[in-house]
Amino acid sequence: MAKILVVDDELEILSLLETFLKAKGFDAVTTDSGEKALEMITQDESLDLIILDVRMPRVSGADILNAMKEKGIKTPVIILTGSLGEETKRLVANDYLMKPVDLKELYNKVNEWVKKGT
Amino acid sequence: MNFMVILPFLYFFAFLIYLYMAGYVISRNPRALLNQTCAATFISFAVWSFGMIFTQDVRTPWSLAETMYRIAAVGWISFSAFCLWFTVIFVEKRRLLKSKIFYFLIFAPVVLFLYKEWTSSVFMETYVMRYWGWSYVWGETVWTLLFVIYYSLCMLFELYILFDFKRKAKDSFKQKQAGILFNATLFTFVAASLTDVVLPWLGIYVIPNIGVLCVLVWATGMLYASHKYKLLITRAAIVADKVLSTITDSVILLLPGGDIVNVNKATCRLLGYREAELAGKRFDIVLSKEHSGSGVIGFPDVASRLDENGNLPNTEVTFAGKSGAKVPMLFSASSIYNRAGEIEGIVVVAKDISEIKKTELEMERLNKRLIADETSILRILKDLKKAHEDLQNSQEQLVESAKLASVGRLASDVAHEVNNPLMIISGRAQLSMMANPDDTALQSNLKIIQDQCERAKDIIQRLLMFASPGRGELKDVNVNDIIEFVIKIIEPHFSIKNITITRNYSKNLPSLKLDEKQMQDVFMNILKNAAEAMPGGGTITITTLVEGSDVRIDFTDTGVGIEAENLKKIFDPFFSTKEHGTGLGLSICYGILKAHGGRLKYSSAPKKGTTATVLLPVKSDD
Repeated sequence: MAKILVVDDELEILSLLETFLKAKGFDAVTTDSGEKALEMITQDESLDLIILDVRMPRVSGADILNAMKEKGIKTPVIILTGSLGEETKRLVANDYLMKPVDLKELYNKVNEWVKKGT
Repeated sequence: MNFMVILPFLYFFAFLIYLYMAGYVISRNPRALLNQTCAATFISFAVWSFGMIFTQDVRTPWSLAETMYRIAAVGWISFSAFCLWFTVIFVEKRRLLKSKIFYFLIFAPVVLFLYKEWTSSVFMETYVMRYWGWSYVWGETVWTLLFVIYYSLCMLFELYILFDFKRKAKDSFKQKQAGILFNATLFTFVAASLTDVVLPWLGIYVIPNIGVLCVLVWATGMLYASHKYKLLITRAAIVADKVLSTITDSVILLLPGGDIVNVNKATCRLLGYREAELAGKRFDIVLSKEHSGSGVIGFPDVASRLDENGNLPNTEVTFAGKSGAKVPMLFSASSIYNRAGEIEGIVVVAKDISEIKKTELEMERLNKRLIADETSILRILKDLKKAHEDLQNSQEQLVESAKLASVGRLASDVAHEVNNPLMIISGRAQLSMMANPDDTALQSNLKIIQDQCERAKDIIQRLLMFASPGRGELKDVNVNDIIEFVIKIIEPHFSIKNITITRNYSKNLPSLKLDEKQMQDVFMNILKNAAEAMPGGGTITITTLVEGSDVRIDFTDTGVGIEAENLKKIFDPFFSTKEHGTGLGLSICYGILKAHGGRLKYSSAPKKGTTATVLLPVKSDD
């Protein structure tokens, strides 16, 4: 069972995505804190995919991606963003989804990247 | 001593002198009473002298001598009255001159004395032949005494008023005149009285009666005073002479032939000549043969320019001084005519205009400089005006940009904040749909929720695009091609609405680095707005051309136009005059074009259609 980390400062979104992913047979873990997420990514090598919100207070999605690059962590990342602007395009992520996310599209991308990871 | 020849000659000489003086005095000013009384005095002396010519000659028979003495008596009896009258006029004793008593007092005795002498010979007792001729013997009568008193009073009074006048006169000329008259009169009175009254009365007959010859001193004094101090000359002539001597302009009197008769002091001072060096010379001597703009370089030029009245109005000439110095002058001439209408002379008056010329040159120089400065100032003003206009435009754009940026930031923040709840709503709806696939009613409602979430998402995307449009993917494109692409999509819909599109494409448009998709959105939006302004149909004219450093695209419709008040707000986000629509279309177009370094402008008037102008730089800001 693939293990997916969902990071978003919105608790309801975390709850939504956790319910959806678990319903689809994935092991979903969530956190609403950027610092916690970074700790989990660094320490847990069993993560197969990270779904990451861009705009978060204190430690943003961009900060996490940069830290991952520095540490050489290659876990695939799908970012959730409100707009696909220049700033978002510069982020070193594997894929992106525009909020509000279509769950079917989300499922397709999660499958794609989990399979690539394995 | 040959008195037979000398004395009569002297008396004859004196007679001529006095007659000449009478004529001279009258000619100086015939109308002046002063001159007339002076002439009368001289005539008295002339008559006296005439009588004495024959009496002072030993060859004259007694009868003739007696007659001549009587003739001479007319002179020596009357001269006192005329002399006193002359003096009173000279010293300007106006009260006396208005007094009839004065005239009675001075002339009545004369008339009486003449009558008595001619009828009764009351003054001369007898005549005795001396070595020089006949000599009279004063009669010891009351008439003789009366005459002596009368004569003495007249002369003494004359001397007194002359002395008093000299003392009080303020005019130096008058003082001099009075002084000369006083001295001459005093000498003459003393000498003549001595020889003709005192000595004979005392019975001393050693010298002839030369009283009338002593008057020559008086005549000499008159002549001197007249010549040197303008005695007996018209006041007007004195004034004219004074004016000429003090006038600062050059005055030259010429003969009709152009010879100089007289020049004033100003002329001499100006040209460095003495009066004698110019008198008699041709007028050409003072004219410069060079630098005379009017072409007057000789007297013939002056003569030829005199008008029918003999005048030459102000003409610029150049005078030449003795040292050769050139003096620019403003010169006029007037002819003097005699009673027969012939020209007697020409008066030239010339004013030194050197300073005026210098000032003119300076003025011309300053004027040129002023014109140059004015041109520069006008150019600077024009540049300033343009700069001001540019500044105003920039300021307006800046304000507009700041306004849009501020709204953009707000829009971006709102969009991001709304996205999360929207995702939750949409997500939960999807989950519910997945969990209840058989509940059609629920599926239907959830579908509606899902659709509206998509719609909201679209609005947010547009809002975000307005907030930070970006330039997307740039590539070299031809604007005409993009417009044609858009027209192909919308033209079918337009033809249904009776909207025709007219194309005026420039064939020489350069390729531009643009985001093709975004440009399509811009042109689509503009054309849609144009169509909506023509509900009953109309024409949209699309013109493309190169204008300076931009490619310009004009979309001109024949629609209802835009009110001036609304024209200011068309780029404001959420501003719309339509019933439906977000009011973000033109704001997004403005943002997209701005991101490409271009501009969007609208010009319109109610009922006169609208022109949307897109300007895109030929060189991008990459």
